[in-house]
Amino acid sequence: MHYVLGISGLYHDSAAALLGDGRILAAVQEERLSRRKNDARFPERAIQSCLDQAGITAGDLAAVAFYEKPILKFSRTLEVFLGWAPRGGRAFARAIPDWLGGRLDLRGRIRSALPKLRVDCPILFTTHHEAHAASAFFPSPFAEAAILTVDGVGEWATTTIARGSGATIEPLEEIQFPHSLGLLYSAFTAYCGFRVNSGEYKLMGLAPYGDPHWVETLLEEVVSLHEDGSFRLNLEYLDPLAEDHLTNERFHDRFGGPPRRPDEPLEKRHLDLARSIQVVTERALLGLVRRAHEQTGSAHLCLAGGVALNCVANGRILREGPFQKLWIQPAAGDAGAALGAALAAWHGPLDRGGFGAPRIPRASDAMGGGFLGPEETPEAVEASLKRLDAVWERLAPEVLQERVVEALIAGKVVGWVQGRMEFGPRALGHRSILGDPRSPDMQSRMNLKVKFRESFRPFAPAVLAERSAEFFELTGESPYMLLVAPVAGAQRIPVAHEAEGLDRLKQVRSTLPAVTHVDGSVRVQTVDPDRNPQFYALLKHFEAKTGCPVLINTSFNVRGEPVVGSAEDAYRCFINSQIDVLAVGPCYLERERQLHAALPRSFEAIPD
Amino acid sequence: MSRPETIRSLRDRFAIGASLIPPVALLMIASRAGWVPGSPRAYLAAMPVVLGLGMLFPIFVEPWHRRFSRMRAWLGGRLVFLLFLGVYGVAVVPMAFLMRLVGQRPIDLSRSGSSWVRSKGFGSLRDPF
Ligand SMILES: [Fe+2]
Repeated sequence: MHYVLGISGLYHDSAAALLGDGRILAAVQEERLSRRKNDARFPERAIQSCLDQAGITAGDLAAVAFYEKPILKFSRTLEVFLGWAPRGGRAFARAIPDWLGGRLDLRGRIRSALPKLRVDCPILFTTHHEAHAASAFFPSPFAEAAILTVDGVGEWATTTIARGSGATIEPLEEIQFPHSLGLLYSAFTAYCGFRVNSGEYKLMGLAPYGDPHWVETLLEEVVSLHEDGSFRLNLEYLDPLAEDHLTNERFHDRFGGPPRRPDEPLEKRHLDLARSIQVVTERALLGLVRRAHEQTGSAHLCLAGGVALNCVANGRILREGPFQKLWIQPAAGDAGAALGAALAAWHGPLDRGGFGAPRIPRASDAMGGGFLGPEETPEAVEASLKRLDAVWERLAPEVLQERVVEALIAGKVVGWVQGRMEFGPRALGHRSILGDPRSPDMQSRMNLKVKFRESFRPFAPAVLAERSAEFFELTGESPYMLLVAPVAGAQRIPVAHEAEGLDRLKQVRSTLPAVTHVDGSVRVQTVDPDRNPQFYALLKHFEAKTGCPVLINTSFNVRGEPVVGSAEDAYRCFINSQIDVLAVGPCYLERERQLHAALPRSFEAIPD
Repeated sequence: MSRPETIRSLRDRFAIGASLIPPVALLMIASRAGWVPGSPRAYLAAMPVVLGLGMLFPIFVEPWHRRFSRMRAWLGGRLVFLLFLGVYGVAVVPMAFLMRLVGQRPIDLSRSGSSWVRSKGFGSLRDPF
């Protein structure tokens, strides 16, 4: 078998992925193993985990592919400083030593991290957006498609349109730095007091509470959207090289004050800005999507890049865009680019240094439900629990499900750790915290007591795929929780008087209040028996007892923590939060029976 | 999946022991100037001793090793930062102004017109550039 290892990292969200004869065998984010959220370090643990899952060593690899061209990126960095001077001195003094300290010699770095790598094993380099495009198209179910990748920046490109056909990706056109939708969204993320490269989805969650009255100002002064789908940023308002905030004094004067510090309260102004930048991003993306359709004439669209994690925009692309079908790489950010780099090397033509392998698209997709990470054996789970002095019962699968469903019906919050770990930012029912969506106070309770995060953050429903249409206005499936759709009319409850700002959170708007956003939308995960059999069985069980085929599904972690990986991580998180029940592998644990009230945490807390 | 790194190879042990030598060397220099008690010879003799102690009993010496490493990294980081700030002022800024004088600016800051650029292809996978 030919094994190809893909690597991404050294900027944010490091990851590794492994192919065996083109099949995706494993993919892991470094943060899940190192316990440091958005870990950007070279992904040594993730690489080892991928090799272990396949039962091979680095000596068995046929190629290693890195997700960027480091020298091209370095030269772009230098050129940007030349273009931006005399501003940017501090950023230069921080960035350049980092580059000279090992980021340039990636071949040397990879070989020293993998001493068993054969001397003749090639180390290949895709471009950043080629890796994103490959991660979007090659695992998709489409034989041909338009490919759109949108992020902060790669080498020069921030947005690309390509055409995918068979095993070929043909890049057509791109938008280059500094004109970047990802950069623009990150600037607002930082301005509203959230961390760049991880707080963007918080800003998206905040948007429905605000009014869009900054949209025209934004479009006139900060970003111009053109007829042909392209856009340009006005750099008089932004500072793309700033280290803390990406906005400057002129921006602060125009938008009502200095950036919000994370510990300061959210004001109406922040809610309105969140809504406004969301509206602008959606308009820009719809323009890009229309352009991609014009350029390719395809009926299918594949999306990747960090901006493709904006599931509200994705829902609009599906509903209002010109494409009939949409497939989004579940690890759309830079972690997924590790997988893309490996796939680009595998299918890349021989004259470019690839393997020239053909591609046969699968009817669903090639992501294996997104469950590409490690899994512990029941014995390993019990050994961990024993080491931590936990109190548990080992149950047969049906009994475990029965007990979990009983707990959920009783209004308890359940930690659910089963099977292989997810690859990508969403927990899809293998490393999840579950709750009953019919409870009106479940959202606040789970946010404040279990996840220790902002009460405005909405949760997502996991629904049996075959009953999704009864509850949500969603055409097609959403197995990776990457689409937002309105609640179906029959489930809506009219609101007599609309409250203001965050008070809107308390108003019940549907029969599933804990997962319904204030604008009546939901971020849906459809669960089918092929991709996700264990979670499907649990939902079926819950449906049989309650008639409701929906559960709240949120990632198993607390604020500042990466999603849990092992049984040990899960037990520590269970003890240190207010989760009532933990089901990890075959083991069932109840909070009141545990000896510990608290345990040292297994992660480095990253501030917002 | 969340294991602390506990490997103690010979290399790790040597690094822990060796990291104690520079502070002793500083003490030796200070003693020569008469700022601290003790003879320079005694400090010189202490150097192989701390190296050996570090290698034999890394667990006792590690807290000091960590403290010194942090201090060294902090100092090194500050020095490198200042050095590169100087490079920026002396080399990058003048070069940027010269380029602008001859009408060149490597980043496109204009606000009008399409920003689409025809793709030049992905290039060879073998090249890091
Ligand atoms: Fe990216």
